[in-house]
Amino acid sequence: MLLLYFGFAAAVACWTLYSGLTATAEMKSFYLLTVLVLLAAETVMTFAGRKKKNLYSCGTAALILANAGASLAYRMNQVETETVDEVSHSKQYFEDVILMLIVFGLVYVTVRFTRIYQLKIVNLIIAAALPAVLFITRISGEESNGAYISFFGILIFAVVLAGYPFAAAFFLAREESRYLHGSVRSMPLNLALFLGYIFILYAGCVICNEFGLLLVVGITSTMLFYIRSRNFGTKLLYTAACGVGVLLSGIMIGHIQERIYIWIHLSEITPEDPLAGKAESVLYVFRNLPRTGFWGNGLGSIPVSIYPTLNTDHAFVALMLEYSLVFATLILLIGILYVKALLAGCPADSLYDYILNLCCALIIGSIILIHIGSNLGSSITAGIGMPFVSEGSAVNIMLAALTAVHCGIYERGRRHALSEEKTVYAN
Amino acid sequence: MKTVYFQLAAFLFLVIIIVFLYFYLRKEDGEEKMGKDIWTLRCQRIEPTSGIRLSRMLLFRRYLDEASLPEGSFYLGSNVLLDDIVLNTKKSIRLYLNVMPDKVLLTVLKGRVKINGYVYYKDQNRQIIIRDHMEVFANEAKLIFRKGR
Repeated sequence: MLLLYFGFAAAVACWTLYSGLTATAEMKSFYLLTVLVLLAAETVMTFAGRKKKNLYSCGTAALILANAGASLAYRMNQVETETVDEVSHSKQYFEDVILMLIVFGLVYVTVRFTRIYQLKIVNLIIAAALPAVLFITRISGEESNGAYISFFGILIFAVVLAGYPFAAAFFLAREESRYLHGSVRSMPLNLALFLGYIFILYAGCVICNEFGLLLVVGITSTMLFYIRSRNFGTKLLYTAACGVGVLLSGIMIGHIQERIYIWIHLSEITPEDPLAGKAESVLYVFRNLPRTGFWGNGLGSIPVSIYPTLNTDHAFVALMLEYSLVFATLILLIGILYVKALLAGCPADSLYDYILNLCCALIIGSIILIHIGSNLGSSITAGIGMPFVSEGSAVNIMLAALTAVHCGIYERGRRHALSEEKTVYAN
Repeated sequence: MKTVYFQLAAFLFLVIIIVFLYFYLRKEDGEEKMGKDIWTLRCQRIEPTSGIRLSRMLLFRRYLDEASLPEGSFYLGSNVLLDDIVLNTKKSIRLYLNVMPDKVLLTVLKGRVKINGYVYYKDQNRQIIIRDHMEVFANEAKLIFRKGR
């Protein structure tokens, strides 16, 4: 497997470097350094992760995505050299990879060997901090394209999603001792509190105009609610409330309204239409897909004027049109396997760990789903990157932390299960 | 032209990795658990009727004498489709079990149960505390709650 990974990394590196992209020697060396660091990480994982199939699969999938991300970052250097302001995306991605690996190691050790994250006080602080971050960002943050997305220079998307699984696990893993109307058929108090909490988060997302975060929190919370709620009537009511929310957002929020309009009237939009620019980002994909063929249009072929966020929000478009549809599909399959590894039969030690792991997997799964949906021209325009493929320090570090949480929970649960088996045999 | 060979190599390596990871993960697929099993529920027949068994599987139900319970809440009853743990008795019964580390809270939603000589009828607001080794008589079945696996 290690040899296969080496082969893949080398093939992608050669493909990227021989594509005729213009880049400085520094950019090339940073790209190669990133590939080498990822190779070193895979080597360490191969030897440390023997007999831990789940952790190994999860890590390998993440590293393959990061490999594609490093290549895409190198491709973006091409864009910047055309402008006066020369920024090395390869250098940025290299620094991100180093930070991701450090954060992964720290979080893994914390979850695997300590139970600090399960302490009530820690969870309470995290739960209180998340809405506070959203509201403080709205009050004191800087506006960027009508949205307040950064909290002291860090994206609130990353900050909130890094803490959200702990807050969700705190509410949902609590003992069901009280019910809203006293009857066990009514909603348990912990679920009611969880619903109240996520509605506060929704409100925070709306006032910050951060609809990508709202979508991810919404999908994750809904799945968690469906899994934990035992009452069919409550689930039905929740679904109705969500339906109304979606309908209202479709009617009242400008850019969602525009996207739905484009989605429905795609063939009728003319170049004179005020929405022509936005429609082009959808049409460009479909107009060019038939031309990509088996080998793609080649790296650097998409005009950045159409996709200014090619290395972040439209990473999948770049993979489809430049790297070829085959490569994009294979990378998507790797993404699916990554989520499967996060979900597959995790031997959680407690209900808290089970929900925490599930929440991490759901967050990553919904991010991939929204990214693909958004890039394929659906009505969702969330501006969410593909995990590890898209650039974005804060988000990729957050994803590395969530993966580390899964790995820590999995390894501790596995060790406990093994020691219990030994005890049973000894008796 | 060179890039085409590298591209082809990347595709091939990726396809093999995907197949490898898929089968690697399939081997890991076990029964998903909401944490450790902390209680054991044993079922015994007290009347000469057949087929009183417990079942925890949603599909392809396999009836067993024993079911392990992790922390959380479950429906135990005779409805094959809706209940988490199916008790195959003649009369219809439905219980709500709230499994906690030190106790199990039982609520009768349908039918009646007998615990420590007391008979409890359907009452959604009443949570009966079940401790270690307590016996619950539900129709022609005897349910024994035991702490631990």
